[in-house]
Amino acid sequence: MKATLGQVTLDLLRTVRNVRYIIFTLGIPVGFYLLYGAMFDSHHSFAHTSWGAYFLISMATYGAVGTTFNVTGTETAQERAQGWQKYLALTPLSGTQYVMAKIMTAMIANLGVMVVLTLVAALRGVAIFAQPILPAIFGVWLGSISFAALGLSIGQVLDSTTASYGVVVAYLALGFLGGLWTPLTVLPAIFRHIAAWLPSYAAASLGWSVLAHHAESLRNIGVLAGYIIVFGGVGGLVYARREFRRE
Amino acid sequence: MTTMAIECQGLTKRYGPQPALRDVTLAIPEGRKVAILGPNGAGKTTFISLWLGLLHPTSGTCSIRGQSPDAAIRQGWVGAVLQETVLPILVTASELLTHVGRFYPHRLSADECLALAGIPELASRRVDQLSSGQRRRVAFAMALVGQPRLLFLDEPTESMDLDARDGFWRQVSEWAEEEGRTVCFSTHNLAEAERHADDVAVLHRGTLVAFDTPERLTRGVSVAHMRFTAHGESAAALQDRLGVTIRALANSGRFEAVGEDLDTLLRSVVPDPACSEFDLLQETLEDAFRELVGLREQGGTTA
Repeated sequence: MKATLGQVTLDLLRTVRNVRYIIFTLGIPVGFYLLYGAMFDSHHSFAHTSWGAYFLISMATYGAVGTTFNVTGTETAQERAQGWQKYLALTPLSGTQYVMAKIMTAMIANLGVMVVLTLVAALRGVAIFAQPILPAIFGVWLGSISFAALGLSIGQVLDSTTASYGVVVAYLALGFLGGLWTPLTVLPAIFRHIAAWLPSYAAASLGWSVLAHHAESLRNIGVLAGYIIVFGGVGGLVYARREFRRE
Repeated sequence: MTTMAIECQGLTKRYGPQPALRDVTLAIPEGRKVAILGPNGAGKTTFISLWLGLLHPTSGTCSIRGQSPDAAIRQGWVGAVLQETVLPILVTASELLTHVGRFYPHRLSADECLALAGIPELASRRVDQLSSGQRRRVAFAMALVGQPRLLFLDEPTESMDLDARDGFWRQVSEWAEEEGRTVCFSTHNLAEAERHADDVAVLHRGTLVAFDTPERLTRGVSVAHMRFTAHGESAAALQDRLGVTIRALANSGRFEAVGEDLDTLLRSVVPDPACSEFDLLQETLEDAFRELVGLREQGGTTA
């Protein structure tokens, strides 16, 4: 555990100092929130809650997609290419601990992004404690583990250059097709069918349901579990085959 | 009984049909400084990767202090500086060492490591802003953080100037001798092997051709050299007249005679009135190396 924490704290330190990374993962959802959030009044009633609260969940999910993909996808691919994983292979830190460290780093960074977004929402007049916003955010946070599974697959299957493109494509696709940029209700029906299979939509739905006082849909939980099992399995298998080794 | 830092039995590694390393058996007792010497493609990297568990042998075994390489690494016994490690960006040397230290059960503090590596002044410098030589020293400090029993260095002084090189080896020696730790380093610099290694393992075409102290390897050399001046002569004419191999040196009128033993050389060259200003050359590890590798080139390519 101590070894894992060594990698986690090292990664967190590097994460908060990485300006480009912060712009990418925090600046974009905050910017979108301020921009699109202003389309309606924050108190405007939307999907059985307020627009300000609804779109907060959208952007919290979107921020988590970006952060998680960066840490578990781009970084692991880069660290493999640069020989850092080979160096780690000569330390007592095991391959499993390395992967766990990346997932933990992503989850902690996600929490940071969500706290900042919630504060921004509060500044825009969203009543944070009058509605179940914090439980909704917590739901999204739990759902974001599925992004780690997907990011890990991208980072392990692709090499470092293609992984960074793969991450951007997946980031944009999960944002738009998952109904995070634009609510699905204003898009043609085909998008609802696509979104129903995406982890970004499923994770955000966990939060939206809490806000609307709806029961969680088993389908969404099933989609998230599916992504965790399938992509976690693929990423884990490819990783185990490599396991820092050159063979 | 002495503990063996490294023990290999019939270690063989094939990539496809071609063996990269063939049937290597050797034992390195703890507390030795060992150079792995060999031309490019001799199998040095394969050999070392097998010790470190980065590769798995096709056949044969390899152990570190009686355990598998993986088990030894998990216990923090091994420290290594590889050629190609790119250090993480956006952290200072001191931060990097503190975090990496947490991987190990018996760690040193960042300050202790930096002092051991002779770079206390780099503590608060960002590692991505250091020169390549300085980064190499930080990588060295990283290898020491877990207080390993066995330190492995892949071409450790490549990017260092001569002064840095001497300072580096002084630190390594002091550190190793303090607790009888073992140091293995690969190099193609013969002078470095000769000066800093207790034992030299010579690899050629995947085979271990020699494993001995530099002194004994050098003593076994059957090549003698002497230099002399003979104005207005050519190497070919001298060779005909004296009956020994003669090479012309860059300095005009200066020649080198090469023979199997020094007595014959002296008897042939010294009496000739055209020759003067004699110089005897000490056999070096380089001669030993040339001879070992040369013999293989002539006779050992069949297997």
